[in-house]
Amino acid sequence: MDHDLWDEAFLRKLERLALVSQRRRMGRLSGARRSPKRGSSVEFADYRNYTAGDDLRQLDWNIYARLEKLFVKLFEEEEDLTVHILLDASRSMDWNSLAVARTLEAEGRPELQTGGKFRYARRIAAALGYIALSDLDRVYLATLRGAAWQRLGPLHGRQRAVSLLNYLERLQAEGDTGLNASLKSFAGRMRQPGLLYLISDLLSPDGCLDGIRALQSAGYEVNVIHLLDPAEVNPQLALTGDLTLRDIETGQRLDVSIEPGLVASYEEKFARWRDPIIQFCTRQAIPYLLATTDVPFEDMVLHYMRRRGLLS
Amino acid sequence: MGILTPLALLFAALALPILVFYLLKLRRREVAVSSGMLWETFLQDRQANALWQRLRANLLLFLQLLLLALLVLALARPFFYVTTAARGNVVVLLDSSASMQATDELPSRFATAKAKVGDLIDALGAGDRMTIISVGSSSRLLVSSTDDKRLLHEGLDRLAVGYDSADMAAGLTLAASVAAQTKDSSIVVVSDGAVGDLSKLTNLPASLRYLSVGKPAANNRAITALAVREGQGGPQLLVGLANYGQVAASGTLTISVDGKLWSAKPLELQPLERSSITVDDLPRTASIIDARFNSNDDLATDDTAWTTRSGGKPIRTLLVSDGNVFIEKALGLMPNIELSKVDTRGYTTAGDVDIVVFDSMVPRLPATSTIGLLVINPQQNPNKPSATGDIDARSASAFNVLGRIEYPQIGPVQVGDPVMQYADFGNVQVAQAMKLPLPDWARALVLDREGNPLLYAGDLNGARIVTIAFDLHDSTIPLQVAFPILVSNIVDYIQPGATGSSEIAAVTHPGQPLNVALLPAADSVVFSGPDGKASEAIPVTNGQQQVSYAATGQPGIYSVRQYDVNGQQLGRSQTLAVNLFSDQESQIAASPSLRVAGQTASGSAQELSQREFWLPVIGIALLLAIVEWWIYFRGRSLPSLWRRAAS
Repeated sequence: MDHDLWDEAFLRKLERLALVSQRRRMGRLSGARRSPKRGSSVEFADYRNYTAGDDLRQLDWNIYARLEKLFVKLFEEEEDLTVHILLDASRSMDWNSLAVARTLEAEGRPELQTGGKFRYARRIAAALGYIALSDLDRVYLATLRGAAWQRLGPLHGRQRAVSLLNYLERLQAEGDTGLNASLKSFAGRMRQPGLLYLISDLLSPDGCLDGIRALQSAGYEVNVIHLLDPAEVNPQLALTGDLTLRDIETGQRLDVSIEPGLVASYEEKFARWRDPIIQFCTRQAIPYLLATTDVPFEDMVLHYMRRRGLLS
Repeated sequence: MGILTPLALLFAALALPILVFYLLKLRRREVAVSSGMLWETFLQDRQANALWQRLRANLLLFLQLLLLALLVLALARPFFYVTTAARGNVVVLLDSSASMQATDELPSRFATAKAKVGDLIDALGAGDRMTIISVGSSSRLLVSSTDDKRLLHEGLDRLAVGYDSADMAAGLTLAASVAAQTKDSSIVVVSDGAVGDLSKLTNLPASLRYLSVGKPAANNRAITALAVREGQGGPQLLVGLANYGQVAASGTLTISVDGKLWSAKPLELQPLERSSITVDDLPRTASIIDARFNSNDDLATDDTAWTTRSGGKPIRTLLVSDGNVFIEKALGLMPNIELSKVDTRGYTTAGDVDIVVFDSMVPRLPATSTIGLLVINPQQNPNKPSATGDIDARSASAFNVLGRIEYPQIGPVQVGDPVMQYADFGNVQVAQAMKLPLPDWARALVLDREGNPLLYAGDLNGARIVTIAFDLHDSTIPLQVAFPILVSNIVDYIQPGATGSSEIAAVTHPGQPLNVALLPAADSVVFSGPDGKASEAIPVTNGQQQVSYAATGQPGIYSVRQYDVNGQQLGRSQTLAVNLFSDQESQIAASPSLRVAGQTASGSAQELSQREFWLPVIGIALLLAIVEWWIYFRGRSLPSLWRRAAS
């Protein structure tokens, strides 16, 4: 049992923050949000790129006449919000690089956080869930494993925070990663578009961009929190010497010798894998945050999230 | 080849841990990573380099094993066998006498001998030591008992050949004393065999080896004697020649007088022939004579000889007499006496002469003390002393005539004195003589039975004076053979080196000291050798009769100058000759073996010596270590270069 998932002082801080919603959504219950309902006070908020499935009536034809690009008008509406937290719970999320470093006596020990990625991910999920519940939003928690997903919720009200916590505490990282499949499946089945946070390392052999696109088409307002271990960015922090690497999920073994040349090539490959993701998110106006577990959790939540506009 | 310490080879067992470490090192540790995705795509590129990685690992292993092997080999002290003339404590006797200058072995026998000794030095093995002794007329220890090859080579290079005669017996004695200090000693004699008499040596405490230089069929001709004597017509030169070889030879005998060529004569010598030649009619003023026999033989040093005739310069003699046919005749017989006469009344001063003879008069000492005096029958001076350039007061006290002696009987004669040499006074009778006290500066040479001096000689204030106390006409001496001999001795005494009698002069060989009689007033002496270089002024102590000069290594003409206290040269410079004249050295036919103390040593006895070579092995090991270091560090980044090259 991870009792240090959070403490009281931290919770109070979180309470003061509110979730920022970029779109008003229709909701069943009245919350403290504004929604773009017809006939009510319609306040123009912003533009975004047109995606398949958007309401054609919201297209701004003036812009199209000028730029020949399709943009959709966004309106603000006070509405209660649905917040989906998608947590990647595959085995790759549970890599304890510190233990590896200790075995190999690699240099990067001070930078590696104890507990690994999954603990960090669950703390983020808990924080986001708590803030949403405090703001009287409806919270769903989905865990992604392989091509499948499991849902907890809907949770409403502050008193449900305890169930959320307990659920997160008991959660185990199992299975492999198949984000495209699981995200598409989620997008197809869940019919409650709203705010969506994807907490994952995005290390999916079948890719993740198609899945994220599907989510957007289904009407979700996607926010990507790309969670990585520092040793995944710079392998030298945990790995050194001649090694046989074993994939946690697939069990595949690979022989490597950690040398400066190899590390340089890895960094190159890493950038080549990550850049398309960033470019996609930028084009699709999806807020993207790279979170590494060496950043203290409090800083992470408060500063980074605020800066990224995920919190007010 | 062999191994000195085979037990060290056990260190090769260290190869086992190296192998074990290598096997362990190649085993990879297994770690879990979150995803092999990124690694996978990367590793696909690296398939090409897997081969190099495996190869590199094996290459490094191989190099390290090789390094270990080399170090173990060096520890085991490997050696290979080298043939050498001697090992252990080696004492080398190098003949540096005149015969080693022969050129039958080019560039010279001495150079060949030095090369052979150089080879011996290089062949010294571990634990061997060498002493080098150079043998001439005296033996000299050049380098003593060291294994430092550089020191040995330096000492050897500095040695030059001499002109003297080898005294190998002394050299062997010295070598024996050095060899006796350790057990495994050997004596190596490097020579051509012209080594003198070795029969007196009884026992050598070491094994003897002999390295022969020179050819047995060497040819040499030499001048074996050169002397000049006063003949009736003038100086006469005697030249002795010998052909030591087995072939007849012809050449030219060149005679030079005082540096100028005087005659050249072709000569032929049969094998082993000895002959002599006389050359008459040399100029009267001949002073330095050298003879050269040029016949293109193998040894040039003994082809030239010198001799001097110091009687060449005339001795100016003043005879103050009223007529004394005997003394005139006797002086006239002597070569290069320039006689001038003046009668007793006409005598005023001595003038510029070398000898003054006062006959039956009151003698007056001359002012300069370089003039020698012969006083015959001194008379008493009736007058008071008067000074007209001469010191009469001194004269009076020097020749104090007391009276006369009737019929003195010849008593003790100092036969050993140089003035009396060969002069036999046995049959001399004297009718009457002057009674003279023996002055304290003189020594009595002939006394009568009562102890009165009849003939005395001495040194008065630098002037040499001989006094005959009787008139020649009053004795039978002028009619005897002793008389001219006596006169010659007297002249020789009062002017040293004046007479030209060198026929019985002893030969001075190179290395032997020159002995020169000192003039009375001499304060320092300077010698000059054939190379023209003058020695330092040798100071003369009071009462010293002669001086020795030992730096006579080179044959040729040496000149001697004597100086008084003021630095003025006394008399003329004397010249002396130093000649080789050695049958032992001139017989240059090399002998192939040496017989000493019952052992016969000959040239080619060889021994096996062990020469270690661990040093180059260590050098190679070091190089290998550098190569291995390079491969280790290069190998790490080589694949990136590989990939760049491939792409």
